[in-house]
Parts: sequence; C-alpha cells; structure tokens
Amino acid sequence: MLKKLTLALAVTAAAALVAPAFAEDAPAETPKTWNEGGGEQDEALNLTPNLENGRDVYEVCSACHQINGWGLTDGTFPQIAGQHPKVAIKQLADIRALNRDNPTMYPFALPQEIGGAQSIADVAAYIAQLPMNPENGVGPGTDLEHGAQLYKDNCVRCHGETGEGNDEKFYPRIQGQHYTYLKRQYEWIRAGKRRNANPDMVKQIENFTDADEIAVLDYVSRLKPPKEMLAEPGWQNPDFQ
Amino acid sequence: MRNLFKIAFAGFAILAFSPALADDIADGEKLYKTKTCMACHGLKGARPIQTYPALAGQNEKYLLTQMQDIKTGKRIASKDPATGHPYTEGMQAVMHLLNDDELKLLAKYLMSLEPAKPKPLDPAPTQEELDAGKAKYKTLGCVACHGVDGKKTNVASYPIIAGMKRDYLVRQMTDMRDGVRVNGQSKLMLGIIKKADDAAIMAIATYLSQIDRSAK
Repeated sequence: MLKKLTLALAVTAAAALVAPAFAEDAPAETPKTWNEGGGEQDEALNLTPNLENGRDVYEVCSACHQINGWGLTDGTFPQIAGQHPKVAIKQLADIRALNRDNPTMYPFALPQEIGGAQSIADVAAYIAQLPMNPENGVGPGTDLEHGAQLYKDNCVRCHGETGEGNDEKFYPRIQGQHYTYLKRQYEWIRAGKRRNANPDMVKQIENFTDADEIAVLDYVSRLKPPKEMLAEPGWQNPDFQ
Repeated sequence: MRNLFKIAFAGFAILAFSPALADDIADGEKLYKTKTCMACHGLKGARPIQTYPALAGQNEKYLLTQMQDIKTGKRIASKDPATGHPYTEGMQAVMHLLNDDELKLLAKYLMSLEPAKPKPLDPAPTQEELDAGKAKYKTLGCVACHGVDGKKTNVASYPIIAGMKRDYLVRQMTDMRDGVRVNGQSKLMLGIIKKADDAAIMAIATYLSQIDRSAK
C-alpha cells in the first residue's frame, strides 16, 4: 500500500483545486451564467461518492494542495480541506471544461490523470471531510473593524455569518482561507479574469477601494471554521503516512 | 611519478565531490519533491506527464538558466491549444516558491539523476524513419552543438536532447524557428533551425526521442 502510494504520488502528483498565480492574459469568453451546470458537473453531483477512491484520486492533488489539503499559507495554493463538495465539484468541472482558467492545474484535472465524473464526486467528498488548517495565512490585521463592517454589509448574504458558505448554492466556504489566495481570487473576480465568478459578487464589490479590499479579506482570513472542522496544529493526514 | 599524481588527484577529486555535493543533491531532491516540480516532471525527473520534458541527467548549467528564464518570463512557449495559455505559464506561476540558491540545488540534483528511458512511440517508427531523422540531424548541423546522437553537448549551457519526448522536441524546435522561444542561446540556433520545415523537425524529433541515454 505504502509503496503503491509513494509511487502514485511520485508518478503523477499535484493539482490545484483553485488557481495559483499566473500571468495576465485576459480570457476570451465569459460563460453566459456563472453556474450553468450540465456536463460533468451535473453528472458528478448525482453520483454516490466513494471515499476510498477519493483518497486515491487525491494523491494527484496532494503535490500542490499538500497531503492535508491545507495548501500553502503564502496563498500559492488554496486550502481545500473542508470545502463543500458541490463547490469542489463545480470548480473542478469548470477547470476541466475551461470555464475557469488555471494553466497550472489544468493538466492534472484531466480525465486521463484523475478519471471521470465519478472521480470528481469521490475526490470532492474526500476533500470535504479533511480537517482544516488551524493556522492559515492571514492579512496585516490593521483594519479589522472596517473589514467586519464591510463583510456584514456585503458578504454575509451569500458566504454566511462566519464565511461558512453554502453547499446547496455552490457558495464556497471562505473562512480559514489563506489571505493572499483570497486576495488574488477577489482581484480576478473583480477584473473578470475568473470567468466562472458569480456576477452578483462582481457587482457587490465594484465600488470597493483597495483599502476596503484589504480590510474585508483580512477579516475573512481570520474567520474561524467550527471547532469540529479544525485539525490540531501539526496534524498530518494519516491516509498518506 | 605520474601515476602517483593521478592517485593523489583521484583522492582529491573524491574529497571534493563528497559531503558538500552529496548534501546539495539531497537538498535539491527535497525541493524537487516539496515545491511541486515532481507533479509535472515525475519521479526522479524521468516520468513527466503530458508533453513536459524529462529533466534527469540534463546539464546543470542549462537547467539553471532555463528555470531562471521561466521564472522571469524570458523563456516563453507557444500556446497550448487546449487552454490557450503558453505551455510555460503553469510553471511560471509556481516559480516564486524557489529562490536562486534553491534553483542551483535543484539543478545539481537533476543533473545527478539517471536519464529517462525513451518513451515508445505509437505507432512505432520504422527503421527508415529513424535513419531519415538521423540523416537530417547530421545534414542540418545539429551535431555541432548537441553532439553525435544528441547525447553530449559541446558546451554545458546547451541541452542534452537525446531521449526527450517527441512532442516536447517538436515544440522546442518549432518555437525557436518561429521566434517564440528566444531566451538564452536560442538565437544561435535560429540560423540552423530556420532551414527545417515541419516534416524535418518531426523526423529529427522522432529520431532523437528514441535514443536511449539510460543504457550504460
């Protein structure tokens, strides 16, 4: 088992469920709606996930998102542990279908690397049950009151009181996410570079200043997931030991 | 007397090689495994996915400059028709994870590795095709820099090209010919590669991709 694991890890490895940093090329087309559904997304949503296969699929992802699913605190790779399954399914299906640009992750999202719709369902379920990083990357901490107010006025409606998101509606859990990653996605969403973004959000943040952006994302990065979803500091995913 | 010198020199060489270089290689290996390099370039730099290059046993100096150039954006590639993004973009996006000293360690590690076995082609090329590629490789003048069979370069800053994936070789030759890849010494190659049409590039790539560097 261990051998198989090491080999699989070594041979393939990696995949960012959400995008790392890359260049400025503006994408050509924007999908008509942010969540059209259809294709593999719908297929995966209707399948019963198999956690064991999810773990096997996750080996590929772990090269970038790390064996814990915690990503990197510098925000190069997001924390995906604890993410809602429907969110993970949508993002993965979008990256595969090129509705969301992610050249670093794209090759690993392909069916020949991780399998078909069933694998998407499986790995999404596996990711969702991973305990989250108790020490994620946070912002400068200089304007948190302002950030809290902005969050309350603009973000709560979809992302929830504590950034917990909403699985049913495909709204991502953003609590405990690395600050720099939040910032990059926020900027891409605002600029239209993240093509599968919800247009309601694009509108919601269009009048935010740079200071607003820093304040609110700093605040979000400090929102804590519920205790039962957090790992102990230094936890290492035993599935990959 | 001469032999004595030789022995003394050999002893010195072993000493010079030993702990420092071994440490560097071990550090480079750790970086390779933790900074996501392995995800694309595969176990021990020899099992790359898709059309990415195998890096095992490549010239250290060449590796270093290419990593630096991809990091700074000096080396760019043609666009992957599947994504519309240059092939180098996915790597450029993670290169901030490594500083210059770390790149040096990585280059040392990669050079120390056993070269990859050639990836079989489907359909397998005929002997005539391989011979035609070899002839083209010679007449075009590739030998001058990349050596007989592409196994050994005359300058350490040039790449060893034998046994690389065919798709990768085709893309590099085409990108250089078409002025997409212009970093480093690429311009020195322009005069030669511009004489090659697509068929010639394919023939050379087919030939080079089947040369086995792993055989001792």
